[in-house]
Amino acid sequence: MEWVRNFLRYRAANTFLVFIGLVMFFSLLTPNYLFVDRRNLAALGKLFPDLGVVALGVGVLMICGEFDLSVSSVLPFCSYVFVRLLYRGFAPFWAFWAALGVGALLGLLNGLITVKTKMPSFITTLGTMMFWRGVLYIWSKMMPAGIRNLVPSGSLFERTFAGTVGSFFPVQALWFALFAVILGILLHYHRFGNWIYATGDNRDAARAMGINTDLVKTACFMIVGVLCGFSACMQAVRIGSFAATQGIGFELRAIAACVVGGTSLRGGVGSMPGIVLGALTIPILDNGLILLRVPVFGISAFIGIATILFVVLNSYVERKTR
Amino acid sequence: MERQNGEPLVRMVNIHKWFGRVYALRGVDFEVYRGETVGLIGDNGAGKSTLIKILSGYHQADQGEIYFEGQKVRISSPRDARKLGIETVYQEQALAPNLSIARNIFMGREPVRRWGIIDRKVMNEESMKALANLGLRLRSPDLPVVTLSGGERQGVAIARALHFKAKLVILDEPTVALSVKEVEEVLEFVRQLQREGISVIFITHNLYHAYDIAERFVVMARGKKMADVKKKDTSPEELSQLVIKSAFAE
Amino acid sequence: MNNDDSEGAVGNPRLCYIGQSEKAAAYRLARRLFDEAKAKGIDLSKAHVAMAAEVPGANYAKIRASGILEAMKEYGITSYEIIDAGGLEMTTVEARETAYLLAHPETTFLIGLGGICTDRLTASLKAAGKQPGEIIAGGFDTTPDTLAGIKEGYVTATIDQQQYLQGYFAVYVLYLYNKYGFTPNIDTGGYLVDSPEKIALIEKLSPEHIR
Repeated sequence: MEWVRNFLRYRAANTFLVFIGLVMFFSLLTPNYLFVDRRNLAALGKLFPDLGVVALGVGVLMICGEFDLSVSSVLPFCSYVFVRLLYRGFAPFWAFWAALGVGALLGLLNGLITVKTKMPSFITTLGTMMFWRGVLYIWSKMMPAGIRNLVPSGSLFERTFAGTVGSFFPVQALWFALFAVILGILLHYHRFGNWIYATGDNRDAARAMGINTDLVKTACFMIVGVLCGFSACMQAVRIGSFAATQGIGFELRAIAACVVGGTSLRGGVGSMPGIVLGALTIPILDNGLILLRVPVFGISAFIGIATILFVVLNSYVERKTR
Repeated sequence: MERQNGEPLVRMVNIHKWFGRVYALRGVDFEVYRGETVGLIGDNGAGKSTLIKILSGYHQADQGEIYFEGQKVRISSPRDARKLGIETVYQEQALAPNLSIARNIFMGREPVRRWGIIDRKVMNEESMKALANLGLRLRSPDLPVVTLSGGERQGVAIARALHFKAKLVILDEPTVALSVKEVEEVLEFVRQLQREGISVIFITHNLYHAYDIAERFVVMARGKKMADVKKKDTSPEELSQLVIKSAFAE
Repeated sequence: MNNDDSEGAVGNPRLCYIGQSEKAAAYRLARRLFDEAKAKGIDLSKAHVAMAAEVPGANYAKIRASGILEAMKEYGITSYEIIDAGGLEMTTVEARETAYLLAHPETTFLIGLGGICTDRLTASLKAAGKQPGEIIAGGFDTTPDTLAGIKEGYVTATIDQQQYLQGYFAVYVLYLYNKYGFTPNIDTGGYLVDSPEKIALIEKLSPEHIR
């Protein structure tokens, strides 16, 4: 039974078990097995990465001991940069890189403000969230801006970010998987990952061991910013426009996804498999409940309860296996 | 000083330190010779930790000089101190509790292959070797440090210093909050350092813990060095009198 | 302007209201959609109306829903559900609408009560594997994907609030109020967009911020 214990000690294990249970439950009980219906899986696969990609970065940042509430403003801001540049006649390729660059820059700013002021990032990024949203509203006048003509359906760029592989598999899910693998390698196999964990777990120890914790934190903020830029372009291409309300609510839902995946709010604890499962679990819960024909008025209540149950379960199992 | 293995390994001269309006160190001279174990004792707030944090790069002195192996040095960060070969083991602060033993030992100095990918095999084997050198046998290098006993944790931190060929190991209250058995464990680790010829500064306010292993004692009170005596010239009773007297002396 | 109190002048000591009569606009939209169904020979007594709202409790959603309910009564439709689309974020809205369509094959009409729910109608219908016109859809505002949906036949009609008029008349009325103390209520109407010709008009004027 040694391997069972080892498996359970792994932090993502509880999430994994509940996740499998949830998938089986929805697969068997939804009318006409709608949950595993091609259409439903395709819709899930193309929609969940919008938040999922952002949550991957937020999870890494949380392991490092910081939060980023500004994602819900950085994302639409990057989207608007992307769309403006398209309007200016830039090729989608360059507009895309510019959006990533702006994301990185806003992440850098979050990092510098947090590290230099030594304020909790919960506060500093709350500030930048409000600031960038305000700037965005003034700049964009909140007018939606269509880009269907500039990124035509079927063009290479459109297919790269909103297409399907083999006429079914949504490419967004592949992007999500790619980022998860890259960040997973960074976190678990690269030396920088060890610095992230050390910084989040015991900042004084990390500093005493010569790790530049300020640099590590700032880099993590930048990772989040770049992923926001990516998600912004991916979403803008899919919905065919910039919308000032893009990303609203992502800040807390990304944190919820990470927590469901076993990431600690105090830093130093979490894993990439866990974050991935967390990013999948909440959309699946949302989706499965609607497919079960639960009244969609007030469905948030179920999701709230589920989130709390997950966290309680995580900490319970953790105490048991220690 | 009779025992002169040549020049001191570390010599701190006339160190002053203010924290705002608090005058924490008032012109302290302090030195450690090669292979020597010094017990640094005194009541809380005597300035022991401040002195040591200047040596390990956490604070900078407002005035005074530090010589290492005869060379005047500036230690402006923990990284500088470690480059010189000064490793510090803080009470509870030296380890990341949720990280594995191996990852703690190699924190900030991970052995890597191409592109900065950690070489786990090397890391795990070297960790177990370093712990075995201290006489510490742990089940697996992958266990998180939080699952270890207090004594074992100190062992991990000391093994780290040993592995990276420290010339001077500073132990800041390593026996606080440990059981009698665990204290004995930690003292055994220190003896291992001594056998390896490493200089040790052992900071404690329980001088009985230090008495067994230290060769010389420096007593501090209110930011000043009050006494500097060799073990053979003193006794535990005399030392504790010294600590108490200097704490109350005006 | 734009959003009135649900009880009109009784519920709110305002001077006057300039904007579309939400209830009337919703009523008009619903009749347009129900007529479309009638023309297709759908049995309205068995029809199911799904209304998606970004913020279900918000005033605009409640008033618009009441306008639709009134039209339903006239046409003898009884089955309906209001969907909490999960806020203003487009992906969440799309996910909920798609899942609802899959889970509720009895749905005849899908109405977005706000601009974002309406914008996502087309994408949701496509994701749920529906053909254009298979489900009769409509809503409010003239966002890019809503107009695209009308062109492709997925969306039957949408209401243009004619915000330009709201701004224009607001200044006009303030001038009159200052000069003569007039406080007129002005219904800026809801322009029913349900054909490519009407879209062409909007698309032409939209870059000039008139429509």
